[in-house]
Amino acid sequence: MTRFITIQLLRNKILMAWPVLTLISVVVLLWYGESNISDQGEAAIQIGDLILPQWQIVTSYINLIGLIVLISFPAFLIENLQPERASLIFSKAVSRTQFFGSAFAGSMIVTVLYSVISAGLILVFFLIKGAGVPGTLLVGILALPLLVLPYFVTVLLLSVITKNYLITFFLGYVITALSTFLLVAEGLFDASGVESQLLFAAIATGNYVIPGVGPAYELLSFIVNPVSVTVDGESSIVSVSLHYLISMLPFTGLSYYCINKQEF
Amino acid sequence: MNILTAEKVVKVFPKKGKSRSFRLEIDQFSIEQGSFTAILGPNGSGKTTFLKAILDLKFLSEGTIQINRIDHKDKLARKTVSYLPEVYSFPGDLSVKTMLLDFGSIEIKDRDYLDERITNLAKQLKADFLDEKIKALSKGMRQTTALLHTFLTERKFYILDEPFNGLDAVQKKKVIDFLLELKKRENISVLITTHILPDIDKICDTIHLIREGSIFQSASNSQIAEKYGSVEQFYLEQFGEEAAL
Repeated sequence: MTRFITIQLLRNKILMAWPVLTLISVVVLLWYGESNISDQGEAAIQIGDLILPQWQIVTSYINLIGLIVLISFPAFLIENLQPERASLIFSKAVSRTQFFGSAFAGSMIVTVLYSVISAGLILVFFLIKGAGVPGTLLVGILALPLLVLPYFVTVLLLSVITKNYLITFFLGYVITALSTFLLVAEGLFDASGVESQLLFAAIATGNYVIPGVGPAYELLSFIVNPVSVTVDGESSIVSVSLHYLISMLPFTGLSYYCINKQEF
Repeated sequence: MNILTAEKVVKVFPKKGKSRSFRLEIDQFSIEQGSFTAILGPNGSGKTTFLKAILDLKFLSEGTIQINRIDHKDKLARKTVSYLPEVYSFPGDLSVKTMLLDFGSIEIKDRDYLDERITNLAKQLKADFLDEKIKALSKGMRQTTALLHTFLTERKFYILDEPFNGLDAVQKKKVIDFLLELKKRENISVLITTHILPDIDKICDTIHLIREGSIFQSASNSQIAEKYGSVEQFYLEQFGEEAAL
């Protein structure tokens, strides 16, 4: 089943835009760009007068990948869960648990593969430009599946419940954006003098119920921009990691329950 | 030995909005190994619902179903059976062969075997369009493609929902000959629903008539031939008045 889903995802033209756009960007940068790596190991790309430090490269990159994933993942999930397709799949010796696990595994296999291809292409750019190996930048790009996982979990639940591509895309966009907002919401409201305990309770709950795109961004920034870790770095990484993992459980559990309850 | 046993099966669809409520109720139903069985009835009588309930695509409200003596909810039960749905959707952008390789890979790991199986099946069902894209196929070609998909895995039991939909006379004969050959060679069992009654005479040993979710009449092919002359006549005598109304 994993092989079937992986092949489906590898055939997905929108998802394929990920390595293709990376390749195009690298080719363009080879032509017009320059690269350098500082003594602290921080990579940067220079296009004319514009200098992009590695955290900015990764941020722009993850915004693009997030959008590609939100557009492409619902397609294969919704197609497979339509009764006309599901009756072909689930009439075989395939359990719903197997399908569920394979959807996760297939998505992660393709995501890891595309991350490795992208990291490889960026490495080629830095090597050709003679700047050396941009270690932390590559680790940041290789860690992108961390970010894709909460996007996938969000899209999975919405696809299972709505079976509608557009609703899944738009709600997915809103929910993942909300996750990023919730991470800073408490500080924002606190700073602006809001004292509602109910609001803070809602924010805390939301933080652990909505798949943690916010914590994933934060984990990536720990990797590519360690300077951003200001307060008690190590314990902060542990708590963000826990937050990241726990926040995915409600949507995952609910998706699993819904798939098992669906008739085709 | 029975390949399929269903007992006290009930599936209830409560009234939802404008859709009417429906109750499928089948007290006792079985298919012997090597037997070809048809369920016939008008549209909306519960044929497809029963087939889907057998495969656990629709969940039973009550009752038990066993395929090859294994509870139908267990995925192992479905290792005995292959299903042709009445309505299906294959990815239109793929060629027939690529789609068969993809879908076949869910259950068959050996790619060479799968490749050879597709080639052989295509020869037997005269499907000379393996390289064409599915979206470019005619209705009959799509149905043949769906049949190729169904027979890709070698099973002891086939559940075919309207297998002759859209097939021309020549293609229909190919499918019937193929089924009869499998019966002779592999002793397969088939559960079939169709509105194309003349073909049923040629292939089925037992016929069940279903109306409003209940099987109300069952007979062997020989009993039907003796009493009514043909399955079509048998069907018309049972449903003719309803159709006239």
